[in-house]
Amino acid sequence: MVINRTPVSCHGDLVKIAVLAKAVPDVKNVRLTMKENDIDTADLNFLINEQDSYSLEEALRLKEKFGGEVIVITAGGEARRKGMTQVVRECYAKGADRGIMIVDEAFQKLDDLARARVFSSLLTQEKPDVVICGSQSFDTATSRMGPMVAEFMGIPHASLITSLEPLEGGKAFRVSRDLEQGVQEILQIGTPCLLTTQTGINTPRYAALSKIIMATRKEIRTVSLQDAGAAQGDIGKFDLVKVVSAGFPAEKASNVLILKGTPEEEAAQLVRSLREKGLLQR
Amino acid sequence: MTILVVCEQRQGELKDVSLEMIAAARKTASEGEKVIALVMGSGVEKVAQLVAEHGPDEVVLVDSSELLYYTYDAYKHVLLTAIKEARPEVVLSSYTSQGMDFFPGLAASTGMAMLSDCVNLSKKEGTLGATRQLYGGKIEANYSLPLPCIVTVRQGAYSALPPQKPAPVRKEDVDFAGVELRTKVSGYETPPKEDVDIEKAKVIVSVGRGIEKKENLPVFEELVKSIDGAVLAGSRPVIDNGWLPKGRQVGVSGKTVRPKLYVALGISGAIQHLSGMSGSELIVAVNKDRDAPIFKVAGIGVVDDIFKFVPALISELKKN
Repeated sequence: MVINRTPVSCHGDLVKIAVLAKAVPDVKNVRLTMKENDIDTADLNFLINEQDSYSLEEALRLKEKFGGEVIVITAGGEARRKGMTQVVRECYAKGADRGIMIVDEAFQKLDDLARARVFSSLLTQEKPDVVICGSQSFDTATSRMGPMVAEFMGIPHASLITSLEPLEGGKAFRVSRDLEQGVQEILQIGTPCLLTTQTGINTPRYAALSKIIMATRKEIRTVSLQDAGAAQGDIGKFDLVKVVSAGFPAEKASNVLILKGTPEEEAAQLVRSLREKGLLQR
Repeated sequence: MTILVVCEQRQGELKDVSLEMIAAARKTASEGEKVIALVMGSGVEKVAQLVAEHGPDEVVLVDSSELLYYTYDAYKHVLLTAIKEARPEVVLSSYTSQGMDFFPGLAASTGMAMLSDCVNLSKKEGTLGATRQLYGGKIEANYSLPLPCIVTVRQGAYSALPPQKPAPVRKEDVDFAGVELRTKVSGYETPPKEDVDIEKAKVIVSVGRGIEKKENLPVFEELVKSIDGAVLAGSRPVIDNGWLPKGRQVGVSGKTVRPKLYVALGISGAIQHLSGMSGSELIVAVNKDRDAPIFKVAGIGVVDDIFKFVPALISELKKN
């Protein structure tokens, strides 16, 4: 009997990848107002946190290589439901398979450590091979979430990655971590693991219009904090850091001279000023 | 109260920022309270000596081949051992690539409150107060952390103390038996040398995300040619997008520059960028967004579209 032997494909190992994607308010070119120790986001648009869009791209590339599933997870208060829905739909349009939204007003006020506890509870139910998220979110920029989630899940992590090379058919990775002064640290990490992406790791794809339209019809699973599997006492135990007050930074540090007029007038004033200071050669 | 400062070194070289961290701890601790500095690594006795001269009450040195590279698992094991022994109210370290990787997980592991990128630490009744920026520097918030807690502090927020009578260095042996290292570091890669050394330039014209695409670079290159001794540099997004090579990057993950004149075009001024250029003698910022943080460090500001302003500036420079 002749058996038709096809070469063993390295595409056989399906991977389950979870992406944590945060919906953040777009504050560019906006005059901000304050509300309850945070900015008032009522009139702001929400976007996917830029760093998380790199994570999604990296997840999609892994899926293309090994097959499997990309799950997008986002969370926030009821007031952010629309923004979060847009974020998940954008991920759908780019190729994510499943979306889970934790919509709970209580979540919005939690310290990141408690939020990480919530994410880790949900993720533990999903059992992904790889969790990927941005190394930082634009709004709070504390760089805490990824490594906190990894520790709660009991899996290793590597942060600030600028390259990801699968080894052993996706069972392990060789990654570069972005240290200071352009130095890259090269390390190996096995799955399951959590990775946080640094900007520049890839160029995120654009979604085709047809896929954007299709994405609006795709279901998003919405869960509460309780559904996410985090015990109430657990959340309280880790909700530790509190905002005491917030506002606009004191202007005292700034003594900038703002030039006024048309671009030509501004340019003339600047050149005159730089010449007076001897900073330009005649 | 005891503050435990976790120092940072790479390949036996102390990070300057660690001396700032000791100063931060000293300033936060009241008189009579203890500042312990922890130095971890392999062959880092000299690092410990250097740290000892900059203000701690004591240096704890853990020297082991297991600590040749930073790995979360090995470092965590050492730090948990040190915390158990010293019982600090505050663990303090720097907000660096290592700080970002190390301390959030430690908070999850110990249940200690943790906040990063802090300035203005202050001790209050059973809590630690800290200030930090949000939304790209547009908002500032004050926080309260219950003790014991972990904070990472922004580089440049405190100045290192001058060398003084060295504190005692106590060498501690840590047993790594049973500690599984789940990540394995194989080494470092440094970026290739550049043709242009932006650190030595007298004038830097720096472009940011506002230039929108690589095809728009020529007008900025023309501006550079119109100013004697000027070189072109960029902020992180410009380098990430491959519009300029890595050696031209200004900021924390790039180079720190102090030219006589720094012209920031379409750069909003993320803190990582500001810390790499705020020492410039004169900063000129051009940005459409009047609230962009770059204007906070600028001496002269132009709130305008760079694509309208830069051509006008070039023709003005050509007038004479």
